[in-house]
Amino acid sequence: MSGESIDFISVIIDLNPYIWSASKLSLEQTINHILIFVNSHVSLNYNNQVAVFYSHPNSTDFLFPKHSESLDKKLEARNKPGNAYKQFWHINEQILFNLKALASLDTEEEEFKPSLLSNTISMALTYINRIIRKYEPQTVNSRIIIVSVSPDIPSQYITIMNNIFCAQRLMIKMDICKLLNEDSVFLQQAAYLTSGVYVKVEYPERLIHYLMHSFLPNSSMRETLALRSGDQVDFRAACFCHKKIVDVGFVCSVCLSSKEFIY
Amino acid sequence: MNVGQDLREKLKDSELLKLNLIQTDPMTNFSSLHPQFQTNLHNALICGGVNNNFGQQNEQPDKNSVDTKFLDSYALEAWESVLHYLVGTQSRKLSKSLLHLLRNSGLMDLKGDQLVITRKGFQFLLQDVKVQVWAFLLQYLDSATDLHMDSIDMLNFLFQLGNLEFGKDYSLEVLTDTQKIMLTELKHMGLVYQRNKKSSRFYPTRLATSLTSGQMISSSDSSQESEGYIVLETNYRLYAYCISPLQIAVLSLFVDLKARFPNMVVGLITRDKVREALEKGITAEQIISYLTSHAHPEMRKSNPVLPVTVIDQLRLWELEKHRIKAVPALLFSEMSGEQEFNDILEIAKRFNCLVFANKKDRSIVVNSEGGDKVKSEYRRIREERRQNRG
Repeated sequence: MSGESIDFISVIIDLNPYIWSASKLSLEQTINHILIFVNSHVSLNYNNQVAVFYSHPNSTDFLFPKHSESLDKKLEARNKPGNAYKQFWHINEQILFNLKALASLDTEEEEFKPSLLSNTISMALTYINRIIRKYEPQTVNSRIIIVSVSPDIPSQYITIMNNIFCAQRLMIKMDICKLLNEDSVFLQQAAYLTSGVYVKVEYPERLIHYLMHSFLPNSSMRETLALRSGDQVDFRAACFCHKKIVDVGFVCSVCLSSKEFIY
Repeated sequence: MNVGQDLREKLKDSELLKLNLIQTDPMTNFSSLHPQFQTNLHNALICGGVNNNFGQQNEQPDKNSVDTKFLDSYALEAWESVLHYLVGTQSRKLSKSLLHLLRNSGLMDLKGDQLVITRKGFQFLLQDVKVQVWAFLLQYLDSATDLHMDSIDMLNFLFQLGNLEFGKDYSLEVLTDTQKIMLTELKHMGLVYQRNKKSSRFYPTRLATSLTSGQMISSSDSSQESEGYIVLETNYRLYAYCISPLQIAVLSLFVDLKARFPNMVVGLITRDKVREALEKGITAEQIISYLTSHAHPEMRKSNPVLPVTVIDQLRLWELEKHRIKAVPALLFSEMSGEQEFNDILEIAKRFNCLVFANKKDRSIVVNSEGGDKVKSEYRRIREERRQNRG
């Protein structure tokens, strides 16, 4: 029993309020789809584990696992409905509770602020590292699934690239589910470099189908499936000093940073 | 269509097909999930549906509610009393149906008018509690047809039990009659707790809720002696910090116990004692895994947990038993000459049934399947030669 490997997924949900309020897609529905996806992953094998993170312009944190006293009290008071599977119910209630807590903190702001995506990825990576150590000597196959809605933020280029290389080293696949907005250059590269999948969702209201088909199979299953792979990966880099995505740039021969101009 | 054919070939022996979860349409070659499984899986994933598949919790809190500690000790006591009965250190009388089960499963057998433990029973003792519980429940399911109970209903209940939450109370109202009968049975085994017969609620214990999970629960896991208690030294000396007669009885299966102190026993693992255990059908692997899973925390600090010398010796003692391998065979001897010997040897080799051959005293041994073939073939060759000569 202990010889079996653990499949661990970290789901990162981009909760940028500016983008969600502007889009026609309902956040509630999307969250429901993601919850069902998380349930299916957990149901595949009792060794499977999951963590869910959110990425917001002001903060980034766990949605699951995250215990708090108020949550425990609430769960204590409410009985589990007879139709809910124990594990599913715990995960779902925790995620929803933490989401509601987050929503109550939200204040209205005029200006667009980008989500702290790179911070969230770093957090997911450190958590995965902890999980790997916790279950030694069992092998942990981990993946990060990013449900992205924001456009690329060039100022995050360096940190995201660092995250990608770290994931590469730890053999963590990064799967990208691009839900809204146009293709993301950085995340395409992330999926390509870590041999994950990149899927641009054409019908966001049918998100669950995309999640089930492209993101549920683990790495060993993927070998036998014909998955959609990124046809064309945009390899453009961002200028290190101007934080702009450039078509043609210069690379410093010493530090390998890419620059828009030479001084 | 070709792909479908391919897939069907692959699916032919698959577990899913055997479990009837997948069905293939012979006309179109399409495979699909069983519709009922499909809807139920769907319901489970979205936490919906109407069947209350995962147990109905009681609305009102229990006046006489019990805590997890009580449930643990209750389960332990009930299950250990079954095991105690098995090793014959029984203080409490078991229920009639449990005794019936013990006999039916071949763990105990009637000798005179007394039940005594069998070979299978000894093996049973060394297994993990969960394996033991499952073995028991399977036997119970098997005997269900004799008791005129619906085994599907019972299985349903068992899986439901595995999904209940430990420490919560559940209502009896939604259970079917079969399941209520089962409940009393499971109560005796320590899988569920019911305050008294009239109580309308029951509590699943850890034995029940871990039925469908992957982790093993070792017998002492939930009790005060949650840590292991066995210290084994390289000189085969074994110190066990235990007071329970059950644990001592299990240990005495393969350990020559020398002394008993208020809180520990001292023994020696000897060849005679281990061979005795092997005779009873216990394998060296079972002994090793038992010792490993109950090793004292101090022992766990080293890697490997048990001294290598002892493990190796246990395996060697087991191998001693397998020095001779018996094969049903046929012996050809007293042949007329070199020619005949070579002919038969040739044929035996051709049929791939040669077990042993000795050129010096001209004897050949072939296995029993090949015996007749070799005989008739040799007769044919001899006949052919004679005709050629003639």
